[in-house]
Amino acid sequence: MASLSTAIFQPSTSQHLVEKLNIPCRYYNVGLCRFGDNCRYLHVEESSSIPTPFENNNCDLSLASTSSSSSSTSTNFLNPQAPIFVPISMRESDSQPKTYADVVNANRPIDPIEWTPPVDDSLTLCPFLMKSGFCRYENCCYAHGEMCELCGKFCLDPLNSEQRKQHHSECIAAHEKEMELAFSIQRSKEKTCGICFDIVWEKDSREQRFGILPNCNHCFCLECIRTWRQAKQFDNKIIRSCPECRTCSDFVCPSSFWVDNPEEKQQLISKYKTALKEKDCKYFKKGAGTCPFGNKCFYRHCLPDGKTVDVGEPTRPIRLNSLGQLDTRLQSVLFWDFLEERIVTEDLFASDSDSDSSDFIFY
Amino acid sequence: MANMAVSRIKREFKEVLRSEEIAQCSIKLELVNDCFTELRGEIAGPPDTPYEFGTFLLEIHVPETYPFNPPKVKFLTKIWHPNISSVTGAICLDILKDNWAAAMTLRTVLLSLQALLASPEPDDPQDAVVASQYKENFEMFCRTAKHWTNSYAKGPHKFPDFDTKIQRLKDMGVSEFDARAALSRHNWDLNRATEQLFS
Repeated sequence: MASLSTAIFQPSTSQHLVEKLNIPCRYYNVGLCRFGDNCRYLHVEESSSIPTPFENNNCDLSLASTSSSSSSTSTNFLNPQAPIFVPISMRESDSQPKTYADVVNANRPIDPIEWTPPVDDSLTLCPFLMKSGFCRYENCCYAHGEMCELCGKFCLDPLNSEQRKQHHSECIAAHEKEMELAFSIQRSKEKTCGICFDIVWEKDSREQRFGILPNCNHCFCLECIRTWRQAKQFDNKIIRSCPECRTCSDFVCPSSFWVDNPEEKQQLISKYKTALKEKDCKYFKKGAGTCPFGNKCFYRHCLPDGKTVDVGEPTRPIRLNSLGQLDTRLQSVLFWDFLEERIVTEDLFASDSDSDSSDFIFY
Repeated sequence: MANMAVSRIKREFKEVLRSEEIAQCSIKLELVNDCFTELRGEIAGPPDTPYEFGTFLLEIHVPETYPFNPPKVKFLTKIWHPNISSVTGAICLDILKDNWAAAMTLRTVLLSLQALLASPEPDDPQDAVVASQYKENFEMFCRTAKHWTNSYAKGPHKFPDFDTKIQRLKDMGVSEFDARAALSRHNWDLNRATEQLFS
């Protein structure tokens, strides 16, 4: 919101010549335009010199309105109170009548900062009061909204309880989100990595990420825990386990914030898994190769036409242990081995690794 | 040397200096050179063990890959212990080998070594002779260990009979350490020790 309001009130001076839109400035006419010569809209006296495409009287247009007051409009196209023009051809099909400006600027993209009046029957709230908190015009032609206690903006329509309710719930949701973020920051900013002993958020910007272990709550930075889990000189059992408590975890989940609450952690991990499922398996190669991990692979197995396929159980020869039982433990270790390796190789080639989505490129 | 190793050792060094164990004089850590790769550790013999009142010096070498690899540690002080070589001071302790974890520190290593002195593992020995003596003749092991602690680690327990036997071998031109080692290996049987030394 803050950026939007500055965009509206900062005159877009000097940097570039203002491209004039072929629309009369609605503020100029009520004496409120603060942009002066830099305004994108036309500063003309009402009903004087707006160019009209209707020079030719043979033009096949007629007035949509049937109100009696429209009788004078045939002589004055430019009356701002004029009813809306609708071409005959569109009158039946279009439920929404087009304004004069729409017709004139049919191909022009909609200006994002252009303020469009609400179409419903609620009051039009004063945009000055809403954005900046004061309105300097005594006889403001807009309704002055009431202040929302949460966001401090004058944006509550005094007559529309539905709008007030909706704004209130939006405000609460935004507030909750902010609080959550503040808590996450508070929780994360002092955390130290148990391997390098540095405060994770004080490391280089690229390394300011936590490596969350699913099965215990010990804190490491992503780089360190990955390096540890890559160590070749130790048994899998050793490097798969937490360097602090030796609890075994099958994978590391990258996160920008420290998470130790079980619910949030579960959420983070499932989000991570979902994101991985979006990536194509480099072994399956869209059907061209075979993935040794079969349907246990966490990456996507889909054909060039986008159809997902179930390739069945892993093809790796099933090993039996000394008792003749299936050695599933060994298999899973090999699978995680592969994942860990892929994580690192892909990380090296990941370009914008600071973006959120790139947190999810590896598994 | 890798950056991480240096910065970690610096932090750990401070941690050890601040730790309670320093206050209790049970462990000590000193720098040998300026680049934080060589350190000197010191642990006190744990109470109620043959090593009580002794102080044992350790040589610590920090590899470049620390903390992803364990520091190399060995005893500089001669010690009679099933898991420590009486000749070289090499230590058999899982955390210094394949059971290392990156979150361990020099402080935890020193404390683990102290714990190892308190509870030897004769079934996983570094020095097989000491280990078999520990298992077969525990009393003899305790006396020998106390004697070694007295001779090398400033322990208080003196054993005049042992000293006499060592002196006998020294008179024959054997060095004090060789004499002590040979006698210790043969449960202080002078004849067998002599036989081993001169065979």
